[in-house]
Amino acid sequence: MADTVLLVDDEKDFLEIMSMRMASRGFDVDTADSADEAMAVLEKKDFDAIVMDFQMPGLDGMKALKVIKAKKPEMQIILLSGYATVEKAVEAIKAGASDLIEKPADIEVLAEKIRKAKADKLQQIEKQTEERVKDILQRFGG
Amino acid sequence: MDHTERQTKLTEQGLSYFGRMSASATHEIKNCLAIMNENSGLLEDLGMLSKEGVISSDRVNAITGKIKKQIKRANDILKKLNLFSHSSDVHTEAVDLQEVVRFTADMGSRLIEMKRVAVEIIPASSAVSINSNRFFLENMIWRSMEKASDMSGEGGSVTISFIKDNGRAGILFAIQPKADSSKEDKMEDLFSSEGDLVLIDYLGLSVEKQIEKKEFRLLWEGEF
Repeated sequence: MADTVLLVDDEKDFLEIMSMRMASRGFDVDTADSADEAMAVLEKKDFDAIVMDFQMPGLDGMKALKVIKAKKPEMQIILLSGYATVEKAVEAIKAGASDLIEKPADIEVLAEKIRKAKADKLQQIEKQTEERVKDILQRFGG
Repeated sequence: MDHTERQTKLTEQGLSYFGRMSASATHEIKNCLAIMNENSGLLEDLGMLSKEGVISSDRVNAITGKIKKQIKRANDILKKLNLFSHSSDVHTEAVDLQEVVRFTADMGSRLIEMKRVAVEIIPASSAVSINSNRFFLENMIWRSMEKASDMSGEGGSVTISFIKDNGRAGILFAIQPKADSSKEDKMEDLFSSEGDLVLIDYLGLSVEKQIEKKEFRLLWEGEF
């Protein structure tokens, strides 16, 4: 099954071309041109990873990251930024981002980060499931 | 505050404004570069995917058209940034308030866009000229636009018009918050920070607030 990605950026030309290039690399891509739209898409569909611009009108990438992580802690979110400073990267990682990549991004690097994010998500889900099973077994004396 | 402290404060205000505008402009240029990067990458992808590396001329034209659009966009931003950088060349000069307001709004358009506030500039019937320091005037107009936008809130609007009557010239900012907005009215505290007061003093203007009407004016007195 193809890796699913939600691309979020207010630059429509960027979204259009990036989604075409990601699709040609085997990704199943959905797009949203604002964080609000991304939230609406996330209500209906789950993704392996979200790639989201840091600076957008209205709810920006950083705020959206916090909202999404609060609702779906296992969601892997890669932020894109025009200027990826160390401070920004630390702030993003602390808030739960999987990574912060500077624009213009190398698509192969981004594709690799998405694959890694998916693997991390699966690992997290497995770990959570194991913990839940362990908890049930302990409670019911298994 | 003594003269030196006022000068220091004014310089701080200026640097902060210059930094903010430069950061916004360069950020937007990075977006242009990112789109050009994706388009050139797409050309590479298509060349690799097609047999014998041949891409249809229609496809090539569509992609190069998109690259040209971004080159023009980046060039326009750089031109604005260059003009802005020259704002502080002359200490005092005759400036047309309408032109400075339009330029300042254009320079900060991305930042206003981020706030999702509509800014409308209503032209005056004739030029409204004053003698001022262009850079600090832009700074004051930007502060006013930003404060008005913050008070209007997301989905609201700000209307800017010009005043020229009985020895007064000025700019009127009218704030229209979104109908269902619960935005707190902060008009009373407006322009009360040290930075605001230093700038107002330096530019020789007065600020008139009409709290009920959600309006404020930047006013200069003299012969115009």
